[in-house]
Amino acid sequence: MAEIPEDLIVKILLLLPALTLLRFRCVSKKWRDLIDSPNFVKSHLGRPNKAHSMMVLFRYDCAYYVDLTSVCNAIDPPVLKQLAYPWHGKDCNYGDVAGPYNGLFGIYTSNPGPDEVRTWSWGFGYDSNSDDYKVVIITANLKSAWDDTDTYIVCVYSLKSGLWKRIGNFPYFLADQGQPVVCVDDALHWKVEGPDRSYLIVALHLGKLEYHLVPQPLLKANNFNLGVLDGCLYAIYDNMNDHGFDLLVMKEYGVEESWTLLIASTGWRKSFW
Amino acid sequence: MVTTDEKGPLTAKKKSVIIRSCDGDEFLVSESAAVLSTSLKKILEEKEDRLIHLSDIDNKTLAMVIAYLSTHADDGLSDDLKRSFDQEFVSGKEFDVLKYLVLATDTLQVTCLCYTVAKKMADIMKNKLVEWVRREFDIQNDYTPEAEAEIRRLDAWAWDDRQLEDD
Repeated sequence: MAEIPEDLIVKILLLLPALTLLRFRCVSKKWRDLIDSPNFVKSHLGRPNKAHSMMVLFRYDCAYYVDLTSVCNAIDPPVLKQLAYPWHGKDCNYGDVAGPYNGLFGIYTSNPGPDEVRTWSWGFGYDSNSDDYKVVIITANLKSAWDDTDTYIVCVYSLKSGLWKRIGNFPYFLADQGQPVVCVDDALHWKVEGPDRSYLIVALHLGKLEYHLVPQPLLKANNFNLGVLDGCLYAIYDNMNDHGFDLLVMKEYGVEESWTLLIASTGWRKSFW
Repeated sequence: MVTTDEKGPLTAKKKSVIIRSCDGDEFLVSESAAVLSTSLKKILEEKEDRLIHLSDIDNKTLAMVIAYLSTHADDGLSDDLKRSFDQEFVSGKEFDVLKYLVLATDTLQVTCLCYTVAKKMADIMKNKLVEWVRREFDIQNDYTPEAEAEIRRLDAWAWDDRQLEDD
């Protein structure tokens, strides 16, 4: 039997799930180098029909996931599958999940630390310029005054270098602890409280590591929550008058006029964020 | 299943070519089927000769590829029928047969079939042990036992041997 050439092996390996590939790194040094090569990783992530939307659930010492794409398509009934992850079976009953960005999830599990220092917010995202994934942790010193932004210490971890770096303090007061932090256009986004109790959207660019404000929809002063839809930032606003909500999408990043009303709902309590 | 393109009457309009396998057998194929292979199409464009000799594809594999090409060149078949033919085509085939097929379709540049075969191979490989993969692909394990153990230890969570198959 003639040997199957390397480019054909790559074609076949690209069709395998990531977990199988992790095992097949063991086949030989050549296979390991093929699977580890940046080009292979990129092609594998970019292949079609990968699941775009996942929900991860934690229960006792296990993690589960549901592929929301299949739920939306209503092809099969949603299946809860067990997620293989490094802490499996260990005592870890709480996890906060971000992503996936390019198929990569960030999972935050709390670690007891000194009482007066606590993690106020964390984010995980992809910086396309340096082709790197970054984790941002905001900790607050509870002994300082709460409205003092000097107390928000921000550290950034780069997956590529494996190093933590402290950057400039978070310049605003974080509106909600535990709000979802979303990554759009190489930047992480938070809802913050501005002067006169209005809400603002602040972004941290993962490449430049600088903060900037993102324009909000006109005439919207109510509370909102942020999310990502098709690579665009969205905001769900409370509609105080009739218990409904408005979902707006910023179609072109950073352009105020591009905020578009996608769903206007009345008489509904929003049941998702 | 149609193995060659001989079932329909060959009219003057329907040009055909002869393809010879490395075993020496010859297959009569309509030109419309042959040109679905990008490499055969190139050969036919470049030379007048209606006899194409494929020195690295055996009888059995060539017959299967030609059956695929003829089915896909048949205008009388709906796309749905062709799709179900594709699924039937790879189901139940031995891994060894699929290896020959993937090589042949890669050489002949029959992209669609090459993908279908590769996908089938990946489906089979998904739950196989590393040892099975080494055997099937004739790969020499060049890790030292210590190095292999270290790799397995680092990604231990990806290994659940209970669900893996060796045959």
